[in-house]
This record gives sequence, structure tokens and C-alpha cells, in this order.
Amino acid sequence: MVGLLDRRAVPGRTEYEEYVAGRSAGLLRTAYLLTRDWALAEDLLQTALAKAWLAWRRINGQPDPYVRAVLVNTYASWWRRRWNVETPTERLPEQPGADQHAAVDERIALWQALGRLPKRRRAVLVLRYFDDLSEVEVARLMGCSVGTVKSQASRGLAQLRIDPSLRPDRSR
Amino acid sequence: MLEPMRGGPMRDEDDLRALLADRAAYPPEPAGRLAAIDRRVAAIRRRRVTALAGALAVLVGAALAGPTVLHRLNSAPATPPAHVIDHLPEYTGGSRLVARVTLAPGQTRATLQYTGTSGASLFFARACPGAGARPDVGVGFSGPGGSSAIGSCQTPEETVGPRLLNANGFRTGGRIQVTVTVGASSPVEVEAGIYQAVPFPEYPHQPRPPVVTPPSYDPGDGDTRIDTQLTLRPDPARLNTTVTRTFTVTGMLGYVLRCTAPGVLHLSINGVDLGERRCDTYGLDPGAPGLNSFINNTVNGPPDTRPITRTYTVRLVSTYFTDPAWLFVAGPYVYPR
Repeated sequence: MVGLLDRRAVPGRTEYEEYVAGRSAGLLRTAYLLTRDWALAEDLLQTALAKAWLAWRRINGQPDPYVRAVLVNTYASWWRRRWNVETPTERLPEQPGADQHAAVDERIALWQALGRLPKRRRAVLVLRYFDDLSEVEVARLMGCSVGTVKSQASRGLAQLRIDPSLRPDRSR
Repeated sequence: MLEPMRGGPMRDEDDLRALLADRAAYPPEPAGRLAAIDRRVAAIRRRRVTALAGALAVLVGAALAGPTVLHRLNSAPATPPAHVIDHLPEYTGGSRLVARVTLAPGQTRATLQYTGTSGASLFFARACPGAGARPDVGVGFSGPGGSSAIGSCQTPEETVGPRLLNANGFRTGGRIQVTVTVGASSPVEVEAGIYQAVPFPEYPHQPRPPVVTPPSYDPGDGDTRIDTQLTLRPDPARLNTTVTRTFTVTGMLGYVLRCTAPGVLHLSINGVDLGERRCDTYGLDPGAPGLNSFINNTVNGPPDTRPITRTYTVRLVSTYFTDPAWLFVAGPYVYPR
């Protein structure tokens, strides 16, 4: 704690700590919807907030877009396949443990279908339909055109609608 | 909690909104988040210093070795030593620049053509000359299977592996069109390039520095949190070999695979091929993620983590190493605190 108290003397530290205290819960939710795991979400959030502190002088006053952008781009890069780094793997391709609820809850099927979307497409849906960002804001945050955001959102929704696990006639 | 979703498939966007709100309704509140962030900040700063020191060591090593020496591990390729073509290096990250385009200040769009080769992995790099300028640069590619946007304002590079290329319909010999877009307000010249992976023996590696430091792992060091249960290091007498170990983990398994000298590590767990970790430089690549986690304990409905115990067999194959400079660490992933 001594270290933390010392840091309060650093310009902007108080504002940064207030930002962390006030916005962490909301950002953690976004991170969770991206990673689908609370531990990884916390990991992602801490990474984004650490980068935000390093850039605080530049982003102070309007840190949300920066932190969200770091959140989404760090998330994408964690699972990005590169030939010169190890293969990102969310889980071994084996049968998961029995799910007692999946057969009776459509939300679970939708949640699982959401997890099958490409990472950036999922990020577009989360930013649009959870964070309620506009298409323009999402485009700015993800560094792509508004048209791309529209098409990614449209394809993501279409993909969810036709997911085999969500078809009305799926076997239960 | 929100009303349960109506039975049947997703009908509209409201279903998705309800699902997202419902799933994220109860975030845990870990204590000590600020302290954990401070540790990460310190770790990031340490890594930056280490990377700078590594770069300096390489420069010193190159100066000592002489300007004409280029370390090759196999027959020399026809290409000249690595050098910079304008602002993009000819070789980087195990790959070679095969196409590039320059956008003048104010120019917002340009395209690159690329014909895919067998096992192609593409690496789109963006160089933005002009200190302090941070224009928004996006990259997209289109081909037989449609188009994908992979751009972002924040990262200087994007990578597309064979799997994604194949998913988009690309085949050997197929043409890929890469579109580069730049924010209209960009006051500086922007360059974008396509890189293609070069087979390891043909890549012009750096000269070996006088000292090669083996990689290390510090569980308290910022971005990696594994309760170390298995640690593998090379036997100096047999640098390139196959190592197999079996161990048991409860909860989410995390692992770290690192190397600080040129070489290739191939990893499989429980017979599942998890791919390669290839090192083309001396020292840790600060851009390479050191941690990979896979979750085998997912249950649905909060909480999302219900630990189960499983046995894993790790098989690690090392090739091309001339220094004992790799490390594999595995164990239960530890919740960040």
C-alpha cells in the first residue's frame, strides 16, 4: 500500500484511480463477454488498465475509448494465430464436461453459438449490443470502416440465427 | 436477472441484448486490482528496458562480429542480409516482405495484390513515419470466400494464418487483394506491407551476441500467472530432442513456452497438435504472447469455473537450437490478484 500512496503524488494518479474504481465493473463485463471467462476477463482488464496508465497523460479526460480499444485489440491479439508464436488454444478439442442445463436453456445455446463467432465479429456484437456503442464509435475503436462494422454485425447476427444449435428443430 | 429468453432460436437483436446483459450481470470483485495493475505497469517497463538492452547487445555483437557476418543455420539463401526497404524491414518475425504500398499524406486507400503460396501465412505490417503521429490504419483482405477486416488503430501489425486464409476460400495460387485504409486526417505517409513466412533454415538470423540469456519465468511478473507444476528446460548435451512428460492439473491449465535464441519448438498436449513456437531473434520477443491458456472446466451458468482434475501428457520437440535457450512451464492458471 505504501507504493500506492506514493504514486498519488504522480500527476493524474488520483484521476486514474477514480477511473479504475468507477469503470472497472463495466469494463470487466465487456471483457467477460469477449473472453467468456471471468479470470481471463480480469487478466484482460488489468492489461488494458495498465496500458492506460502508461498513456494516461495523453488520454486523461477521455480514457474510455482508449481503454476499450486496448481491451478489444489485446483480446484479438491474445488469440491471434501467428506462425512464429505458439498456437492460441482456448480449449483442447475434446468433449467438454456434461452440461446439465444446455438442453433446457436456449440462452446457453445462444451463448455457445456466440463463442463460435470469429473474435472480431464477436467483439463488434458485444460493443454494439452490450456497450450500446454506435457503428461510428465501434469503427473508430476497431480501426475499420463503418461499412465493415455494419457487415460484421449483420453477418454475426445471421450466423447466430442459422447456428445449428439454435434451430427450432434441433434434437434435444 | 432478466427474464429468461423465450423458447426457440434467437429472433431479434433484443434476444442478444438480453443474453449479453444476463451473462455479464454478476462480475466478481477481486481485491487489490490497483496493486495488480501497478505490478503490470512495472513489468511492462521492465520488458521495455530488457528489449532495449537486448537490441543493444545484438548491435554490439554485430559490431564485434564484423559487418559481413550473417549467422545462417543452413545453406545460405539467395537473399541479401536483412535490411530496411524504406520503413519496413525486408525480414522480420520469421517472414519476408513480398509486397508493399505507400500512402501519401491525405491518401486514404490503397490496394496490394498477393498470390498465395503453399502454407501461406500473411503478416500485414504498417509503418507510420513521423514521430508522434498515430493515424488510424486499417487492413482488410478479400478473396474467393469474401472479405475480412482485420484492421485496428492500435496495432502496428496483423497476422492471418493458414487456417483463416483457408476459411476464406484461399488456395495455393489464389489471389488475395489487400486493402489498406487510412484515416482521412492522417498528416503523414503510411506504408503497409505483406510478409510471408520464410522456412526457418532459410531465414537470415541475427549474429549471435556474446551472451545468450536463457528465458525465465516469474509467476508474479505481470501478465503470466501459473502455479508452476511442470518446468522443462533443454539438456545442454541434447539441445534438439523430444521430451514427454505427464502431469495432473486441477482447474484451468496454463502454459508458457519461451525461447531466447533462434530455434523451433513444437508442442502437443494429449496428442493434440498445438503448433509451433518459433524464435528468430536473440532475447525475448516483447510482442510474442508468452501465455496460452485453455479452459477445460467450462460449465454453463454462473459461476463459469468449476474446476475438474485432468491428466495431461506434454510432448515437446525442439529443433534448430544452438543454445540452451528455451523454457516450458505449465500448471494451473491462477486467477489474477
